[in-house]
Amino acid sequence: MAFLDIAGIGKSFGKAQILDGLDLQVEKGEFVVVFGPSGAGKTVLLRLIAGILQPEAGDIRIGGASILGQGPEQRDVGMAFQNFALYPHLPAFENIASPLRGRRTAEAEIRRRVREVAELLRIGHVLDHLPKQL
Amino acid sequence: MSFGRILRGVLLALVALFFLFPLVWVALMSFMTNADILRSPPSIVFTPTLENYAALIAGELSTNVGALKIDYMQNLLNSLILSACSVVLSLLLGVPAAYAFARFKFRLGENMAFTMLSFRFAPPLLVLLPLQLYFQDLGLSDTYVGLIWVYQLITLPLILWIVRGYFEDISEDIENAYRLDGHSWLRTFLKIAVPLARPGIAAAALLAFIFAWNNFIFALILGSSSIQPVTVGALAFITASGINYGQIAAALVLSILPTLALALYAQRYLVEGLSLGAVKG
Repeated sequence: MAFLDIAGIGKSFGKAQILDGLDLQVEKGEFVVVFGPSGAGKTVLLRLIAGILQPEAGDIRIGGASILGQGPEQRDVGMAFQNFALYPHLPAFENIASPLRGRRTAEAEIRRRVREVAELLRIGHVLDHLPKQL
Repeated sequence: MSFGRILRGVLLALVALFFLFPLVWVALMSFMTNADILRSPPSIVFTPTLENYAALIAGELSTNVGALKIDYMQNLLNSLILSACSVVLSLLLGVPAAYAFARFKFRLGENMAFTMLSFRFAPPLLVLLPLQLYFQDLGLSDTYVGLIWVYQLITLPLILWIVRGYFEDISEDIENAYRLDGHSWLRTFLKIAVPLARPGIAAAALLAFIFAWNNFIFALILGSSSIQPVTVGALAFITASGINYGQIAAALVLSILPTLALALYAQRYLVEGLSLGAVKG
């Protein structure tokens, strides 16, 4: 069985059926590109996997177990939003550290890993700035 | 500096003078004796006195026929207790409710929100008589708890509807991103939604405080002198032997101060909201 297994998933908004019986299998480490015209349901599919939206039919399994009853915070899924969705009131450091805090990582480890990413992106000197000041 | 800028400055100063004149005049009156106030023609040159404030703090209203006891400082304290507790309670109830109305669509949701709003435009006199009867049965008549409860009719709808609008303006994706980071919905509400709506919450709280502070009719009917606020307490200044304008002015100045202090304090949160852009890009 594939690592991510989507079976017969369906989602509609009012009378508009966006996804109808969609199947998709993705193996671990595999890159998959989903493309289609605007309104085809690409974002809806990602939101269903992330748990932001709930499907009306079908099942989503990760590592063999259904994740449908779980909230977004329980699924261990990452997602980059089209509009970035940065936290405007938190400095860059906290923006980067947020997923680590969500997973209850030790403070020293958070500091080390945020520094590491910041060095890689060459933003180490602006970690205390708010997003709009970058 | 161009002529236009100077003209604008002068015009703004004139408008400010026009609107602030009553306040300035009241502030001046509070330092005058009754004789100075009633002098004709009025003059802004006088010997300032602290008598009016001293009388208020001592609780002695001097009239033509002798001293009269008033509890103005107690009224001021009552106003503070009633308004502050009402706003805090409304924030505790109203902010989560506003979030629910903004984020979740549920059956009868709009009807419930509108019912809450309708409390704002229902005339108080409509509910006062039944309230008074119920309050006597429940033992809530003449208690802080009873009045704070009734004040929710004023403060809760205001906070609910103003804050709801602010929550609706926050991009849902910011909250979704935070939840995907592994944080619970409660943490998302407390750490993302509430801080981002803070200017709205500050504005709503300030407005609710002013409305609660200015309320007259509920406290007049449902409370006795021991828990009545300044708005009702001010009636004591109108005595059979005349009106002491200086003391009324001093009482007015004192009653404006808490609201003014709160407005100045809330200002930084109001300004903060203008400088935060929610979604970058």
